[in-house]
Amino acid sequence: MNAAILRRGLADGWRGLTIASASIAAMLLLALWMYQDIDLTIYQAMPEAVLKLMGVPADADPAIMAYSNMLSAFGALAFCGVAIAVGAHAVAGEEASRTLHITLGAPISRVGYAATKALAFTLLVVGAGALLWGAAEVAPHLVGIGTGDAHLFALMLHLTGAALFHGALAFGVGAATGRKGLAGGVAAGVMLLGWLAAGLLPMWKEGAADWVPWTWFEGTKPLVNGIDGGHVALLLGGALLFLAVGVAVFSRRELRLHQGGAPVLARFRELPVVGKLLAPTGSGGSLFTLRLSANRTLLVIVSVLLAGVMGFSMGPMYAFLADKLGSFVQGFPPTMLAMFGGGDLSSPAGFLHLETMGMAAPVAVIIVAVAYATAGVAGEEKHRRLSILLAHPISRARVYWTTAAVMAVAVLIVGVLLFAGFAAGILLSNLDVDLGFIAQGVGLLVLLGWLFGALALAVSAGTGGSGAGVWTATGVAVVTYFGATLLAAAERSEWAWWSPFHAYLYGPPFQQGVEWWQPTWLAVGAVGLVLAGLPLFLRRDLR
Amino acid sequence: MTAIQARKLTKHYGSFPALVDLDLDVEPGEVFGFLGPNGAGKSTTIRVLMGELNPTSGAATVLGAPPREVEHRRRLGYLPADLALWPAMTGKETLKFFANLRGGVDWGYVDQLIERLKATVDKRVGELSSGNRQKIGLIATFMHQPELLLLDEPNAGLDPLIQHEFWAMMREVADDGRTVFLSSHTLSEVERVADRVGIIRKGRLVAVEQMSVLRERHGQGADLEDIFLAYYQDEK
Repeated sequence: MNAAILRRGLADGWRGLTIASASIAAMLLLALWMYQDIDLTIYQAMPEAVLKLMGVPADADPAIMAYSNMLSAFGALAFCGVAIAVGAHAVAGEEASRTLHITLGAPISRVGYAATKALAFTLLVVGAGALLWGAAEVAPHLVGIGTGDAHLFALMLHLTGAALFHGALAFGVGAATGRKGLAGGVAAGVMLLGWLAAGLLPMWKEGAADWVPWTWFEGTKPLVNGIDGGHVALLLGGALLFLAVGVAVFSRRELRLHQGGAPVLARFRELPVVGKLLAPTGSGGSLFTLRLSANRTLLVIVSVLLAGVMGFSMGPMYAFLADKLGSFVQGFPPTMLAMFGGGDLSSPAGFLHLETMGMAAPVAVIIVAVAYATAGVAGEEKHRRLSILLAHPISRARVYWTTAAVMAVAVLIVGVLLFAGFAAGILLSNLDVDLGFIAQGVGLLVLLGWLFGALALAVSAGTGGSGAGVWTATGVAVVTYFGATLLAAAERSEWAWWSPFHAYLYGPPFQQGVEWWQPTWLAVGAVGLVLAGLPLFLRRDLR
Repeated sequence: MTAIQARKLTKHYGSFPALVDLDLDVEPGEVFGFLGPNGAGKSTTIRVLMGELNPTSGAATVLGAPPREVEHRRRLGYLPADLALWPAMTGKETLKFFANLRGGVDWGYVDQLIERLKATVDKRVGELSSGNRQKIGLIATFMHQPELLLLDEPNAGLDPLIQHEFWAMMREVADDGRTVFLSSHTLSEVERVADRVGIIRKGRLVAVEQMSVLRERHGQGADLEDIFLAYYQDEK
C-alpha cells in the first residue's frame, strides 16, 4: 500500500460520490415531503402482509415507500452508476490519460499500485454509503414521518454492497484490460440488465431472478425484512473477487500506449458482418460524418437495447403476462404508478408506456443526445482538436450547427428504430394499440431528447466544459423528472407546467394521443436553448 | 500585404498580463522565428492570431483579415503545440478530412510530402508514435501550399533526418514568397532557418531583428544561444 497513491485515489473519486449521495438524500427528503401530500388512505386499509409486499414495514407510515422509490430504484441506479464510473477510472482512466505510466516510474509495484487503488475505491463507496445512511436516518425526523420497523441500515448495507459489486466489476475489467469505456460499459450493462431482469422475471416465475445481482440487492426487501446474509455475502464476495482478479491481471499485462483499438476488438473486426459494425469510430470525410460516427458505438448499443429489448419485446411480454397483470395492478394505486410515468398498467398501451416510455426511453435518448451534443464542441476542445479544426476555413457557427444537426439526427435514428420495434412487437402480438398514438408518443420522445441535447450543447459550447454540459443536463433531467412525477402522484399535475417531462408524459400519449401544446413546449424549448448557446460560443475564448 | 500585423496587442488572463502591447509586422517571403522561455507569451500570441483567444485590447490582422474571420484560413496553415488528432482515423483519412474542409488539395503534392517526411499514413493515428503523428500534422499544414504557416513547436518528436527535411521545406516556402511564423525552443533550428527573430519576455516583445543584425550587435562569433541568454541574463 502506498499513502500517496491512496490519497490520489480518494481525491479522484470523492467529489462524484459525495455529490451523488447528497443529491439522492435531497431527492429522498423531497419525496418524503411530497408523499405527505399524497392520499395514502388506501394503504391504511391494507393488511400488514400486503403492505410488506409493497415495501412498507410494520407500524411505519406508508410514506416510507419513498425509500423504496429513491433508494431501491432511481437512487440506487444513480449511486451504483457513480460507483461504476469511479471503479472504471481507478486504473484504466489513469492509463488512458497516461498518468499511470509516469506513476509506475516511481518505485511502486504494480500489485501495490492496483491494490491501493482498490482500497481507495472501497473506502470511497463505503464512505458515500455511510453518508447516505446518515441522511436516510435523519430525513424522516425532519419531515415527521414514523419509520416503525423499517430496517434502514439493512437497506443501506445492501445498497452499498450493490455499489461495491458493480463498481468492483468496472474496476476489475478496467484494470485487466486498460479500457475504461469497456469497463464502464460492461458494469453498466450488468447493472441495467440486472435491474430489468429483477423486475420482470419474477412476474413470469417465482425465483427466476435469484441469480441476478440486482436481486441480491433488493429482492428480499431489506427495508422490510432486514439483512439477508446470503445476498450480502454474494455482493461483497463478488466485489472482492473482481478487485482481486483486476489486481492480479494488471500485475502481469502490458500497459497500453495507444488511445484506441485492442487486439480482441481487432479480431472481431475481421469477421464479415460484425467487422463493419465495429469499424473504428471517429472517422469521416466531412465534419458531419466525423461527428456522427464519433459516438456510433453508443448509438448502436442504445438503439439495439431500446428498440430491440424495450420496444419490440414489450408487446409479446404484455401478451404473455396479460392474465396475471390484473391482480398485480390492483396492488398499484394510480399515485404509485404516477411515480414511474403514469398510465394504466392493465391496458397494452399503458403497459408499453409505463415499462418503456416512463423512464428507460427518456434516459436512453438523453444519454445519446447529451453524448453527441457535448462531444461536438467542448469534447473536441477537451481533446485539443478544436483549434486545428478552426484553423481551417470553417466558422465557429458551422461547427456549432453541425453538432446540433448531428445530435438531432442521432436522436431521430433512435426514435425511428424504437417506433419500428414497437410496431413489430404490437403487430406480432396482435395487441389493440393505436400505432398513430405510438408514433405521437415517440415523436414527443425525440423532442425531449432534442431539448436536453440542446441544453447540453448550449452549456458545453458556451463554457467549453463537456462535464458542465453533461452534469447540467443530468441535473435538470433529474429535478424536472421527479418534479413532474411527484406532482402527478400528488394529483397536482397543473403545477408541473415548468417541467419538460410534464409535456412528455401528459396523457399518456400512447393511450390518449398528444395535445398541441406538448410538442410545442418541447420544440420551442429545444430551439430556444440552441439559439441561446450560439452567441456564448462565438464570443468566448477557447480553453 | 503584410502576413501578420499586430498593434498594441494585449491579452490578460484575469489580472495576469500574458501579452502586453505587442507591435509586430511579419512580411511575405520570410521565416520569422519567435523565441521565448516557457510562459513568456508565445502560445498566447499564436492563439490570439488564430482567433482562439479574444485580445483584451489592441488589434491584429492575419493575411489582411481580423483573426476571427474565416475566409483567409484557406490561405493559412496552422500546427498547434502538443498536436492532438482523432485517434480512430488513419493518417490518410485525417489528411482527406482536412482536405475536404479546405475544398480539396493537390494529392500529387501530398504524396510528395508523405515521401519527403517518410510518414506512415495507413495506420490509425492513435497507434502512431508522437513523431509519426507530428508528421501527419506537418503534412496537413503544408499540403495546401498556404501563404502563411503558423507553427508552434513543430519539431516535437521528429528524428534528426526528418528535422533537416522539415527545415528545407520551411526555407522553400519562404523562397517561394510565402511566410513562416515559427515558434520554437530549438535555438539551432531557428538560427538555421529564420531570416528575422523576435524575442518575447514576460509578455513583451524585447527584440525584433534580422539574424545578421543580432549577430553583429552581440559580437562576432555569437550564436543565437548567446544572444538569447543575454536577453534573459537577469532572470537566470
